[in-house]
Amino acid sequence: MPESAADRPELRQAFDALTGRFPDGVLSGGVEKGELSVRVGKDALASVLAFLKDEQGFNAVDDIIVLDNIRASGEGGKRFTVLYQLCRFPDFLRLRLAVDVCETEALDSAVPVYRSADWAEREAFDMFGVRFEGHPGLCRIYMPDEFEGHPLRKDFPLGGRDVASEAPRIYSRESDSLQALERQSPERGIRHSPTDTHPWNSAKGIKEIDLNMGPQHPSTHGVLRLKLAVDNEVVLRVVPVLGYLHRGMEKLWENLTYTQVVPLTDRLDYIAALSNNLGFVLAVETLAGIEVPRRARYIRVVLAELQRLASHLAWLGFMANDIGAMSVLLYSFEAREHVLDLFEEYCGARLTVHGIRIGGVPQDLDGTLVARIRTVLEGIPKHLADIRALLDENRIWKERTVGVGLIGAGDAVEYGLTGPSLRASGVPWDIRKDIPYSSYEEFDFDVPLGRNGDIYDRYIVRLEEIFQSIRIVRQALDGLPEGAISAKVPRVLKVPPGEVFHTIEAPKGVLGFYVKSNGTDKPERVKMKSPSFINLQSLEHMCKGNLFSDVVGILGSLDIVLGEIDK
Amino acid sequence: MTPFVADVLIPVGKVVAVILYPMVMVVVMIWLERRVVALIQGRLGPNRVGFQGILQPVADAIKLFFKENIMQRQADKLLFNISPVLVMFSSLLAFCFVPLGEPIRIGSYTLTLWIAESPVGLLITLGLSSISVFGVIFGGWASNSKYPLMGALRSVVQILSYEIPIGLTALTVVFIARSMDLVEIVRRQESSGVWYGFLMPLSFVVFWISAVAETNRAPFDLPEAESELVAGYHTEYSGMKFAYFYMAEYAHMVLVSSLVVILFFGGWLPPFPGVKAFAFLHVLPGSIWYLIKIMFFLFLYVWIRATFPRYRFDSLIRLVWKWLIPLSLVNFLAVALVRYLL
Amino acid sequence: MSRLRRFLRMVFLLDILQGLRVTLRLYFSRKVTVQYPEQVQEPTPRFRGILRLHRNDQGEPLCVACKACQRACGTNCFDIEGNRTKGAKLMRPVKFDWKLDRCSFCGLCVEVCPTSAIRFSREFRLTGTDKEGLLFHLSEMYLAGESLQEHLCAGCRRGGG
Repeated sequence: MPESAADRPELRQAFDALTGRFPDGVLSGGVEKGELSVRVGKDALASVLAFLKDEQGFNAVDDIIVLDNIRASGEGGKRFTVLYQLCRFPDFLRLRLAVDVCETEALDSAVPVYRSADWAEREAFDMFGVRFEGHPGLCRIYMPDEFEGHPLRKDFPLGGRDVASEAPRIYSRESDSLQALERQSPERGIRHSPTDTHPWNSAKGIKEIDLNMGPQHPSTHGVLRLKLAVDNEVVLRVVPVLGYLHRGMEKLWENLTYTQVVPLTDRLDYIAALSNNLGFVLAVETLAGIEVPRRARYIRVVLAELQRLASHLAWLGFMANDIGAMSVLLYSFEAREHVLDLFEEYCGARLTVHGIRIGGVPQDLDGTLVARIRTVLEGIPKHLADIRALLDENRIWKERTVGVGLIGAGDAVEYGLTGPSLRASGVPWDIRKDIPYSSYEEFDFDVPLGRNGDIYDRYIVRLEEIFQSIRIVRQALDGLPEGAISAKVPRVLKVPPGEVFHTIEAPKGVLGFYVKSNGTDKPERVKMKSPSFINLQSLEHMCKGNLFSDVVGILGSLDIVLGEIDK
Repeated sequence: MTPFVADVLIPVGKVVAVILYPMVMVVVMIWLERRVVALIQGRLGPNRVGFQGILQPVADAIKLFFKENIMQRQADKLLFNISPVLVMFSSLLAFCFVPLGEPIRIGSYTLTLWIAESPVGLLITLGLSSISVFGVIFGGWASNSKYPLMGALRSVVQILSYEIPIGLTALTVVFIARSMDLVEIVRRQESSGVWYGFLMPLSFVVFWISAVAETNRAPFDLPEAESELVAGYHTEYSGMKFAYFYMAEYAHMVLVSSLVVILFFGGWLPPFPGVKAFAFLHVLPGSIWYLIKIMFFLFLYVWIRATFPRYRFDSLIRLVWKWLIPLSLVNFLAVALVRYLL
Repeated sequence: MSRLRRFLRMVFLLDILQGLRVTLRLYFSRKVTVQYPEQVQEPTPRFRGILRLHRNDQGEPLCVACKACQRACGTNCFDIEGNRTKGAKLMRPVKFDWKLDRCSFCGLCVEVCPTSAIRFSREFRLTGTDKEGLLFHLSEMYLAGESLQEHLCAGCRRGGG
């Protein structure tokens, strides 16, 4: 936190370069709380983005956030403000571009410049109705295609609207194939490439079969639907269909106080619930200027790393089960049970923990709990040794994972991949090291890196991260400082107006929370940048050219959780 | 011994026994698989229905019996109904020439525990067990759906490819024993005093791997694995027909285990058959030894299933054509050479 | 690992045998299964079971109907009304409706209660057959154990079951 709160000279440099190049395009800007915000005009957007990517080196779009200024539009201003959150690696500069647009106008799409903006723009269109010109297939992402209205607009009622639904025709007499269904409504979310107008493209000699890995499937880690187009066995296209678990969290959060939002963030990445709590709480604390005592920061580190352990153990079990090694699932879950028991002793719940409060932590780690944590940490390497003996050198495992699902470092950064999947491609990007938060800079740990970016590397990277997490927790427990476990936070927390985008390294990748406050006790807008959402975009790239039996393994190695993707 | 008993009762009794034997083993296998897999995974498995869950197969059978018998409108009725029967039929028929144990002496009469003995018993057994391929193909085709058809084709390719190493390695045994008669092979192991599995370990290993692959068991069970896309030729089957496929797979496993035991592990012989010091092992009748050995191989099936991930289909085929077949050919030549020289 | 070792490992299936050895050892290990319902693993002291109201040592209810829990709750579980009878020092709740089906067990109400009247219990057996059993009125907020189960399963008792 100290680093991100300081004003860095590179931010000034970037701002000056931008204003120098686009004197008319840049409307305003400034550096505040360690973040650079720049307002640009709608027409200059495309060239500004291209300039930032090519000459200033901003590699990826973290998130696209839309604000609904319904009051301003009533007074003659533009209705929507679209924020582009950009990030530069390797020096971790954050830039926020703001563009105002009204309902009838369309923005230039960022996708030709930044591939990772693809789904974020679809989400903006779905939730607010902002149109992007030049997007390769702008359609809804969460809501069904026939849905009318845009849910996150301020005039859309919280309880929703009654919609007359007709039962979908699943079986048609003429032909019971997927192609017939596609022909009925061509905008059903699948984007055919421009070259083939008909799925059975016999002119090219390719016979495509459309396969559907439905929302109910043992291996899709939640309700994810994958539409695959395969040629014999080789995968040609993978189109994920999302929204089966969409619960309208962001709309809900706008109507709750900051304290009430924290337990709901548990339900996002439900496998590592505390990381979500931490992400949101840190964003609010940055905005409100709350200083968290050192003991609380250390306890948060302990809890977050234990959650990382639990998350990686769950991932390991699921991925091994998908590839066929059923026993590994049970072994890793036995190890995970010990960690969940720890959380039950600490805060009373195993899964949806709500273990962090704004300002600190709810309970203290007393001597018995510390001893319990140490005992559990001793036991985990033994379970892992068994699992490694079963998998690491196994020829069948290596056949299924080495060289499968490759993604190179350049492509990975292009697609906005973050987290262990990115590090397995060789890119050393870890928020805990690069933009440390909650006292991570005081701990000594390594960041495992892979080389090739295949499934095997992602497997090894996550296994090594488990050992590093154990190391961090031991250091935190050894050096636990005395002091208060929480700062003094008023019962009704009113946050001064402002906005912040805060990221943490969640087990699945870079988790970001954008919080905009308007001075009341309820947030004006909370947007969550979920790592699995962005990571899933690279699934198609990884699966192309592989056999469709590998899709399951690649999906498993990406470590997604639908609660986070669908919000 | 009246002619009635000798010519009618005993053969009919043998036929009934030979049909019942795999069925009983199947029932035991259902329980064994679930219990052993559970215990390996650190959990308990079925232990509520009956003592230690021993009645679980009965519960499963009752459940499957009462399930709805679904058949698609476009399915080919005859083939759809006949394919489970075919698969089961071939598994059971192949038991004709397989001995179930040591001949029992009752007074002056020796009761042979096989329906028939033939100088080419091994060949016939392998041939009869291959009829199951038809059942698989009919099942996939009759379902009239592209996913079961693809799964069925993969299964067929797998079964046919893995038959080749099975044949070649069985031939090495035939070479040493100088006979294809299954009973004779056991007797030769008795007289030569060593089990062929220890004489030709490579043959045994290749035979075993190919046998696991031929019965569509893990790690070669991609065509029917639940977490894969295509659920195999029995996707569209439910209820009793599915139960038939399920039981036929287990019966095939029992058949293959019996073959392994006969060819490589001395059938009903106790360990160290020729050695005087271990003559006390004869206290247990041969049939019990036979059963113990078969149970060990069934346990090995389950143990392997619980341990390893699944082979992808192309790796599977590459394994057999690039490794197992050349290996078994080389092995055969080596055995032939050694036999010729000695 | 040298090439020779790797070759031998591949030929003699050593990685396969290593895996088999691990699973065989775990086959004989002690199983940690707790056979519910005959064996029950008691939850930890801080476990978040169902919310219960409490009385003090003299038997007086602790709740003073301050509605802090109602304000803190993010899912609108509470509906509380209180009044102070003439001559009494404190307010008492007259109506205290709590919906179990809305509770997310987050614990915000427990944290804000000034008298520690509402606390988590360790009851996790919260199944019932009757939707009405999910709504707790004032007197039912003190139920525990067997009487709690009866309230949740109120539907089975109707019709003389």
